[in-house]
Amino acid sequence: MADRTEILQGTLDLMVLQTLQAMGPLHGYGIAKRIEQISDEALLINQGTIYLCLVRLVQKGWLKTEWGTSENGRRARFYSLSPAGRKQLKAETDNWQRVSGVIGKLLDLTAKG
Amino acid sequence: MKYFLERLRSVFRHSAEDGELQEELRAHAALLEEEHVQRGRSVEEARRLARLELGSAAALREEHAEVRGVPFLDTLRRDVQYALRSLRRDSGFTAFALLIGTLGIGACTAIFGIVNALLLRDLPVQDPGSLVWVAKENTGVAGDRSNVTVPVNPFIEFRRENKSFRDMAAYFAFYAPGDRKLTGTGEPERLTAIPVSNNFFRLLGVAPKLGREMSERGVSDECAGCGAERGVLEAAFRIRWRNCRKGDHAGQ
Repeated sequence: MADRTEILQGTLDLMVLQTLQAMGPLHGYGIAKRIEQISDEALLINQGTIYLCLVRLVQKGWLKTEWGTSENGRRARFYSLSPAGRKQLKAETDNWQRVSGVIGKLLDLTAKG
Repeated sequence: MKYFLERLRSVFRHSAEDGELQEELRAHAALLEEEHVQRGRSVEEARRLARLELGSAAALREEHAEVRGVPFLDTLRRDVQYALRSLRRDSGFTAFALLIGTLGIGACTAIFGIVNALLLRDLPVQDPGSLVWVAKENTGVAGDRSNVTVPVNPFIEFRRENKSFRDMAAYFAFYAPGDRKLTGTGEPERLTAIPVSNNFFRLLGVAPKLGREMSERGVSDECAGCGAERGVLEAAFRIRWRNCRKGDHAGQ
């Protein structure tokens, strides 16, 4: 069974992939901001740690990067989903839904039982 | 696997990728600052808050390097760079150490070359396993056969009556008597030669690369009575030979 840090890592990975699919290419600030908004900040120790996650996803081939300009005119790196990343997101989402379906049924049974 | 290869590549791009990360962090910090300024904070306060939210840059850079690289190789790379720096700083010591090392390697190579040629390598003849050295037993120094000689006529007799060996050949045991002087174009040179019996090369199964061997003509010690000497030239000499003259025997 995966340990706690792996589960957190996996959840963060999934959130990043989902964010980029929903919102298109973003830089680190944008991604971190949205994750902070959605989760209750348990996933990120500080905003800087998003870059640890991002570099991992890039090296695994799920994200592509491109240098561009940020809103305030500075050079910034933008991340987007790669085809492999899209596939991974779909697989993870399906997995989650299956697991939550099973647990849902289990809880149903326990409640009735 | 591909993931590992990516991390491996990153080890070699350490400085470049660290620089890129820093640039990303600067952009991120600027955006955070602006967010706080827009909320009404002062520039200094905004900067302080931004730094807090982003976290320690130094710690992040270290952790980032651990995640994106192969830590073992990273430390190795850093150690090697440090070692090279230290060596460059004390170049006298480095030069000396290199010199000692080179001498050591050179000496070992030379010694190995000799040991290999004399002891380890098979004799460059056909069927070295069946080659034997026949000599009269030396009552002097035990096991030292190098100065035992056989006179010519007994050798010829041995060869004729021989029933144990496929063939027998002989070579002259000392260098000086075989030497010849090479004249003609250029400076005269002294050539070192060793007279051998006429079947010497045939027995060993070694054929000369150029020209032909000596024909059946009987043993020559100093080649008494055979007129012009024929010789088989050693390979290294042959190359210079080709450059300056034709013919197939040394003139005198």
